[in-house]
Amino acid sequence: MTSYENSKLALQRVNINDSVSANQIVNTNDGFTLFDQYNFKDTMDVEATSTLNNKTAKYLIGAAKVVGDTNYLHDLDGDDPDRRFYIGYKKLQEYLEDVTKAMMIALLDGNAKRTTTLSSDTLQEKRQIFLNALKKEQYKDQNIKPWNNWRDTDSTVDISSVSKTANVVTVTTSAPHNLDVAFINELMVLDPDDWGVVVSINNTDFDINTTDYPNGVPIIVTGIDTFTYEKSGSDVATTSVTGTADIKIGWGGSSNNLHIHLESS
Amino acid sequence: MSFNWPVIPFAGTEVETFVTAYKELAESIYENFLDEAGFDENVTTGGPHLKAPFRNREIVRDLLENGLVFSSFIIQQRSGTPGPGTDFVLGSSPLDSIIDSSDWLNLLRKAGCIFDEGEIAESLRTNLEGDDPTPMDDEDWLDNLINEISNTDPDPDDISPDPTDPPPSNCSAGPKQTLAFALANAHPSAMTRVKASALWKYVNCDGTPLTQNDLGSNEVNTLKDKLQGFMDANNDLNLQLCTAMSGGGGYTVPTGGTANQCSFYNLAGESRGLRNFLGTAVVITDVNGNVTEVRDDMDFTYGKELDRTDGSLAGDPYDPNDVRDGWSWQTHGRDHVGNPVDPNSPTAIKVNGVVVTYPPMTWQEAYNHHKDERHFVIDSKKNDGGIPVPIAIQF
Repeated sequence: MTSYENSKLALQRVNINDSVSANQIVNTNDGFTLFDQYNFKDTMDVEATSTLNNKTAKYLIGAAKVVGDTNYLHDLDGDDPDRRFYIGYKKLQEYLEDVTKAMMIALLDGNAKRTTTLSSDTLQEKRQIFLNALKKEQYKDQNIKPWNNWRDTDSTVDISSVSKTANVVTVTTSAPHNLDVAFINELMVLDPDDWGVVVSINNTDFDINTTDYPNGVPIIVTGIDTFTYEKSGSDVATTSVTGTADIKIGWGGSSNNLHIHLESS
Repeated sequence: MSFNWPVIPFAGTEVETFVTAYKELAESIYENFLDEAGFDENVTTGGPHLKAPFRNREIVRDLLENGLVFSSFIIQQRSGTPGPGTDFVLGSSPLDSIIDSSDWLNLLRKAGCIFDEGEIAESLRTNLEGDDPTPMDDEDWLDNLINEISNTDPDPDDISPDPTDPPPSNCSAGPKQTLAFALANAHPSAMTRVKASALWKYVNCDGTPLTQNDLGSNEVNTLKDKLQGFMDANNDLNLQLCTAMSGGGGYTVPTGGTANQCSFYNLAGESRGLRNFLGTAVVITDVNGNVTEVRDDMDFTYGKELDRTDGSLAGDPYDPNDVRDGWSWQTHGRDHVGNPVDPNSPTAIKVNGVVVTYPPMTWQEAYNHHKDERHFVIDSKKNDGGIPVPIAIQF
């Protein structure tokens, strides 16, 4: 076992969703069964997290022995990943997600979306892509994956009207948006769920901030000229607007939900 | 073999091809990580190229290992092939077959089956406190050494001593170790050669100080550059990684200079290869902040430790009577990261005000807890060999 033994308690190959709730637990005669679904926290983009507070750093690189620091036991909190006290699973799951995405992008052909075909790149090229996905901004190579194609716009459609109800925006396009609803998961016949959007209509109630969402936010296609996405804020009645929606492609929503259960006795 | 891959419960041409390619790439990433991760030497604007969570090769390995299942599942979904993980039918969950269920159940028990994050954190704090933790060694540099000196990393999950490679006799390196050190001494990294020189003295029971005379000029200059870079970064960026020792701490300090007690357990030390070599050390600087000397004692909790009782300073020659077994081999306490420590140390973990003590480690436990090149130290200890090495390098 390595020094990072307890990190594996948080990783464990797949992860129990951190929002697991009581209704996912079924008591049985022998104990209980826990049901959960796992998916990427960010189903659209590939930007790796850089969050690393001092306590996380202490855990990750063994930097606990800070000169003069003898009071570290007194200020532990729920986010403290000190493995003696807390497994820091949220952070680790974010890191796992980042590495998983980087591997898929490095391994798969093209932009790595919707394909199972492996890239013909050399191992060295794949390693470069993997590391490129995890680099700080100033060291990213914008000419190779993922930064040269992941956030490409698939298509652009004109918007004719928008409305918002209960934090869900409904967009009506000026013409059919032509978003395919049958390309994925042939056996399960699920609706495609990897579409996303960047809306630009000069209205903060609806626009998508590309700083926070560089590859857009997930959408649900609800008709040949309509789709919805989530954005918090007050309700807004249907309003005619002029603007565009850049259609993006992400990783996939419910089609990638990994169903798991764990029986305990 | 560096990875302990989970069994993938998905079948089909696409996913099986993907899994093979994934493992090949992951192994390649791990093997080349130290050379390709990237580091910009510019003190003020540079640093590691990778974002902070991904700079440690062992952590990246763990993440790669654990990312295989879900990425395979996505491929399975894209291929449209049926398989486990797509419903809640009992028996079709992939989880049971791919986790170490004992660990997971253990964790759930510790969680108290209270699925509230705050309660989980509280419960874990309480329940993990009595665990027998895996020590996080402050001499992790041995881990890195074996990775840097050879392309034949031992299987880290093979915790048993290699029967074909018996421990060396007292105070001598065995054939495997000798080969490893020979490779280390020919390694292009000057820092690796410095580390190897110190460890060579340790396993051969040469307790005389490692000085600049034991190293080549390239090694000395490189070490100085690394230390100077660290000190400059510490001062320029106000990192507060060093504490000036009152009165020079008894060391001979240039006029107007300072003896600095420094910790390299940080990114500034890690990125310069100092963490794994020195851990903590005294760095002496002149009035202009130029590094003139470094002082340290290289000893091991899982080997021999040096407890100076005669008032001598780190890096000085020492009284052999002050050498004792590391705390791993005695009834010991453990600090918050699991390092064996003196039970009377203020860093020893206490429960309800009482220090939690642990019995001396068995050899198997030691081999289990300390990987790779550290086995050299344990092997030496097994034969009552290996002695601390003072480090006193002047520039």
